Amino acid sequence: MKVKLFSILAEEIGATVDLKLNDNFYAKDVKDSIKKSYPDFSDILDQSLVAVNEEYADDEEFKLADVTEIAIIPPVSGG
Amino acid sequence: MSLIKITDQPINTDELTKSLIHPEFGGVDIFIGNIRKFTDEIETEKIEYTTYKQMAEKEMQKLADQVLAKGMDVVMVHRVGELNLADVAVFIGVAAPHRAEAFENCQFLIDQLKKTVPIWKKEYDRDKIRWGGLGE
Repeated sequence: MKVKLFSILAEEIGATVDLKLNDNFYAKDVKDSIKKSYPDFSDILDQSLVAVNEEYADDEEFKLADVTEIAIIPPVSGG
Repeated sequence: MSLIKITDQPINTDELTKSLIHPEFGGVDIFIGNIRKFTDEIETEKIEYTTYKQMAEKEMQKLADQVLAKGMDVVMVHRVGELNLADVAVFIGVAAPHRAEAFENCQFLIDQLKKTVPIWKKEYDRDKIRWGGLGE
């Protein structure tokens, strides 16, 4: 699954990262998986939210089959 | 007619303001956010905004819907790309029957936009680059 990255994460890591996710997963799993490959960004990932299908994800469990898009949302700073 | 969008073009504040003038709305409140030169001692030279556009427009629409549901009109436009000093980054306008609700809802929209809409700034300051939202 290609996960979209933005802001400093996109600049430092790339626009996407390829992750292997279980058939059922939680938003936290997405961040943990990226942390394993990019431990230097743990702090920023801890502050980031996960968006699944363009909606902020809470603690619910997702079925990979229902997911078309995942993104990591670092702290936003529009305005 | 509400307008919600993210654009990479300059924001035409006159045109957007005019779009909020209707006979049924006696009060229009506008917030315009510009690129500021000084934040205390930090001197900013330019800001580059990026976004997760589809999601950002959805999140902006969700906010606008809360105000539209109360019978007001809303314009929310955010610019992305490279912006220079004094450029308009964001325009929020609320037209309402009376001023109090126009003020209140305009503030609500800009405050919430800054909390939930996936837009990020990379600030090119004189001393270094700062990423918005991450502190030092």
